[in-house]
Amino acid sequence: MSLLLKYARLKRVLIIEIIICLTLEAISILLIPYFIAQIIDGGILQNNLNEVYNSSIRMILVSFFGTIFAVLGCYLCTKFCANLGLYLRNNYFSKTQELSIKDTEEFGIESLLARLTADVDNIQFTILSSLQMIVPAPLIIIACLILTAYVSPSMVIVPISIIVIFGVFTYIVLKKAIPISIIIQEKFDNMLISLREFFTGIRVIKAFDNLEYEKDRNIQNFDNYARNVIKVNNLFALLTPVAYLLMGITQTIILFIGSYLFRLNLFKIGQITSVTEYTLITIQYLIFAAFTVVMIPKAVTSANRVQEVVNKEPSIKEIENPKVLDDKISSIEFKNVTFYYDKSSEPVLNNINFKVEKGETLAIVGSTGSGKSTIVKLLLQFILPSEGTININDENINNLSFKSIKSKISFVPQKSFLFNGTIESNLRMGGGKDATITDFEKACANAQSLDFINNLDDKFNAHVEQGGTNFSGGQKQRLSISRALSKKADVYIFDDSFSALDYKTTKLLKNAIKQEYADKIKIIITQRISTIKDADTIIVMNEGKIVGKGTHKELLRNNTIYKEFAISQQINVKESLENE
Amino acid sequence: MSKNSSVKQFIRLLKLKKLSFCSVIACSFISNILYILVPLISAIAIDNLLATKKVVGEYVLDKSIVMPIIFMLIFSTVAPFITALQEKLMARLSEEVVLETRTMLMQKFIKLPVQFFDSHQVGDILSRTTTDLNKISTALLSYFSQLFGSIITIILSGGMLLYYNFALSLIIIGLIILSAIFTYFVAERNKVLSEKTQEKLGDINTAAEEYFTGNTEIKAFNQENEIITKMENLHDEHSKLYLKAQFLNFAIFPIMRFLTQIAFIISALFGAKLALMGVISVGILQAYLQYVNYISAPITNIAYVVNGFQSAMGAFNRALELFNEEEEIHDKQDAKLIKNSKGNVEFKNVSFGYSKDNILMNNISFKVNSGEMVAIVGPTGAGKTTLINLLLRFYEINSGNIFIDGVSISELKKGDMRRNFGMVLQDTWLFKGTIAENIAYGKKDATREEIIEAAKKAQSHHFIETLPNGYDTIISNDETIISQGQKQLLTIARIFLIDPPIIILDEATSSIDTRTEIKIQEAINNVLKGRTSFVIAHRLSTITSANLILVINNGNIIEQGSHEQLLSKDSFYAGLYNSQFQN
Ligand SMILES: Nc1ncnc2c1ncn2[C@@H]1O[C@H](COP(=O)(O)OP(=O)(O)OP(=O)(O)O)[C@@H](O)[C@H]1O
Ligand SMILES: Nc1ncnc2c1ncn2[C@@H]1O[C@H](COP(=O)(O)OP(=O)(O)OP(=O)(O)O)[C@@H](O)[C@H]1O
Ligand SMILES: [Mg+2]
Ligand SMILES: [Mg+2]
Repeated sequence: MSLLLKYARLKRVLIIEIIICLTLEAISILLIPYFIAQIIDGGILQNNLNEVYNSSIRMILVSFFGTIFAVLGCYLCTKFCANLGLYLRNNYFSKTQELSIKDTEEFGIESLLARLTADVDNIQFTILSSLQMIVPAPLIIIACLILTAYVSPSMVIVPISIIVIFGVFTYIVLKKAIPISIIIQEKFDNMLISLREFFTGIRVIKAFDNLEYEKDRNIQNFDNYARNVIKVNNLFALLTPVAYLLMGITQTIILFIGSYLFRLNLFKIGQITSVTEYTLITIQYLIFAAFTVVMIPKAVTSANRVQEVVNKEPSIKEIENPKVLDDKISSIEFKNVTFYYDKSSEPVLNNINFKVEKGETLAIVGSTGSGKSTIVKLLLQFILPSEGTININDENINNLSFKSIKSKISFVPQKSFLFNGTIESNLRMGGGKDATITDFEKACANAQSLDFINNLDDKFNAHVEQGGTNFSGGQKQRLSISRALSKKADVYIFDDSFSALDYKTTKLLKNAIKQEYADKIKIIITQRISTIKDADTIIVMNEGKIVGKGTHKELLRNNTIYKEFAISQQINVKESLENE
Repeated sequence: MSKNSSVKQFIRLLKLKKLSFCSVIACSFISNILYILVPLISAIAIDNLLATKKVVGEYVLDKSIVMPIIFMLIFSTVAPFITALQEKLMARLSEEVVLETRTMLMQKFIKLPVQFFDSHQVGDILSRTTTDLNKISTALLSYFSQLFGSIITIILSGGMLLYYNFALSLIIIGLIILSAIFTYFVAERNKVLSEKTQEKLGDINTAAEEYFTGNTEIKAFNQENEIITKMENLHDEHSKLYLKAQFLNFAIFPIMRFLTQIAFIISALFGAKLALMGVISVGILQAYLQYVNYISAPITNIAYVVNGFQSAMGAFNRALELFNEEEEIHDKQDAKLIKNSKGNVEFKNVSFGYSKDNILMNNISFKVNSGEMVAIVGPTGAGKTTLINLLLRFYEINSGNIFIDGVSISELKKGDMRRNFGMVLQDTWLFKGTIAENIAYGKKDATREEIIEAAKKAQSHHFIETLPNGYDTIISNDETIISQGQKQLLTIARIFLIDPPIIILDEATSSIDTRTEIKIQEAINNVLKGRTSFVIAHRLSTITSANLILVINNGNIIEQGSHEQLLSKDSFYAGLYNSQFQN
């Protein structure tokens, strides 16, 4: 909620303006019945046409200005809420970008989305309705109480007790509704989760002929959501009837007591009708308020959900005043680096040591799940080492600004993701604003993607669907490599980025990198020994440990695991060793 | 489908809930009449009171006052119960209408071709199916009951007005017509604006969905500030539209109120004139004006409700648009079933392009006999995956035929046909659920033992055991609890659980290290034994034993034969094969 308060403080002038407008509107609403009475009682009943004119003109004026203020108030309220949405969304979204990958995963993409769109929408709409419905209500109700007291002080007890009873009842309903509202938002997330899975997994779903199953699963989620919404609706369904019940009963009571007092000559008929009238207006506004009260639990839940993300401390943060890495990266060193996701389980990386310098190629091979990608994640500061240090240019990376490091490292992730747009817009993520098509052509030539791009009708302007679904597996991967090569960096990291490429292409790519990026640091993770034969250092990983380090030849000679890799790839060990 | 049919969809939807809707309307009708009667009885009682006062000078609780009070008590307690019933019905109905639409959308989604999912962004469809539809339930819930209450009041009070004085009533009829026209224009505009606003919100959703999905890339490429700027622009655009749409939504209320007040004043002025001229009695004028007062609130209300409803329809329209998407070609009425295919597959003169004017494959023909292994090789982007896509009928071919056991696949029921295949696709896909559930995706009733057995064959048992909750660890596509290779192992494990006649492996082991691969290969070979299989792999060593190797380049089969046959010639294949071993 603190974000809302902050916004309110920011917009206090606007709030005051809104209150003024709405108050003036309320006053005009209260005055209108007075003028109507004037027209009828003072004018028509007295046969006084002049009075009819005068009162009419006054009524028109009041009505006109009342409307002006009402419309103005409405505009200001809407502006307040439109800007509130902007404020919340901007703050919220920037925060999601500060959070670490792990933090984001904990919330889940769907939930983050729901908070950004649906939850903020809830908050906006509730506040908008409340401002216009609830703000005038107290004014008018208080006015009614005063007027009732004016007519008959003892009768004030009637509207007051109604307000109290209705208030208590509303409170109970709200209290019951809030926990369900929390569930509702969770069910909403679930709806998004299974739907999104359906859309992203459609091929697998069709392939396994699981369409019916997925349909049922989704409908089940829709149903769970609907059921909880209905539960809350059912609670609120009682609010209006209770108000009406109170309305009817009080009318009867006023009439009953009124007639009693009337008979005793303590009360006039006029008093009965006025008290009834005022009580009815009070209840009318209570009902109005009830319409908006209904939305409050949802909005509170939503506000808390947004706030939860905004309040979240990123699990990975730079130190204060980090050093900016100005120089080129000339060396990267892992020193006794150990990493585990939680202390109780086996470390994912265990005592990793290596150093790679300018111009060198470091290759990492190793079994599935041995921690190769984790090494890269550490270097890019997606995660922090549990023990040990990582140095760049002999400086602990924890002391450096993250951005300055990342600006000098280019990276091809293991699972390439392309963004909706064009090939060029994707490459620009790497190349930056100033890159020219010639730059891109060069990068693509190196990434072996230029040929197929040139074969496309629109070349660099060819459309890319989200995730690159309109390209083949190998094309996607080469576009992802092109994006990385478009970036002018000191370090290039390829995380198993040739897995979907045929060997011929891989070879060309490898040679291009070797030539064009000779003075850079290259870190290549791969399964294919043939790709990394001439790397300066090869690290062999197994179950989170480095089990071998050296050149291709050295490892072939004395590392059993590496030898097994080679043999499994039909590499003739003997021949390779003798070959020189 | 035309735009018109989306309206029909909505009507059909309402018809489904006919009973509930009618009940709500009936309840609303009865309770509103009762509510209107209460003040009437009260007036009668007061009249009686005044009358009796004159006769009796002292206090008596006589019938004249007791009866009305009893009636009031009954009416005012009964009416809220009817309202409660109505509200309860509406509580259910409003959400059920949305649930029904969502369910229908889901039924639509399963009929859409892969093409649809290729060309639409996830975030967009998500927002149409969730947020947009929610607008309609909110509208139904808050507006529907008000609408009928107001209509009834207008009818009753209007009747009274006409009864009292026809000429004066023209003013009110004029008011009603005027406000109807005004409301119509505002509401139309509002609908458009609301649709635009929701569209922008959908854009926010779409963009954010993509950015959250590409989180790694954004962080790696320091793109945070760029996308924050992009999102802020979207937020800003949305906020501007929101301002317009919501202003229109709420401002109609005071404006309509102003109109009714003007109408009152005009009535009063004319009425007073008539009264002074002696055309109507003062009493009638007074009663008349009271009813004018009575009718004002519901007129304002209806305008407000209609306007709000149109705004919700704007959002609803976006969801309904999805119903207009073109569906996959339906299975023929007399579609044939094949439960257990023998595994004979034939492509005959197949031509295909992802878009009509861009033909990728031309006249492809080949034949695979039951139990044979076919390897599909070729450079990246050659069309290997496409061939599989066609076999599974993810896309419709432009011309030619694909036969399974001699029957063209267009004659077969798609679902049944696909059940004859077990496959590992190039892109891994896991859903949010336990590891066990993910493995058992092709066979939901698999026992834990079977699942473990499959995992062991896929060399996954070991790493699964080391996870905190073993087979019950929750994984999902987005999360990185398991490595990329491990994800692929799980998708391989899936096929060990099912027993299909035809197996397809599209780069099934591309992210798996070769030592592990060799171990799985044995299990895979066991599965392939006696089954027809299609294998795509860049590591050609894994497919040397294939009965038939199809070499594809630029969408065409350029060579076919066995490993030995192809290698003996100076073939494209030989070049590909040897490139594995060269530096
Ligand atoms: N959904 C799609 N929409 C449009 N074009 C597509 C689509 N999928 C693939 N293509 C294009 O069709 C051609 C063949 O793609 P396909 O996926 O069949 O290649 P592949 O042989 O499997 O390649 P890889 O080895 O890289 O996976 C490519 O040029 C690709 O860009
Ligand atoms: N959030 C997590 N919690 C627990 N374990 C995790 C988590 N993320 C990853 N792991 C484990 O860390 C190990 C190393 O994963 P990593 O992605 O580094 O492997 P890899 O060597 O890149 O494998 P691959 O070749 O398959 O890509 C895996 O065994 C994985 O199960
Ligand atoms: Mg990895
Ligand atoms: Mg492919």
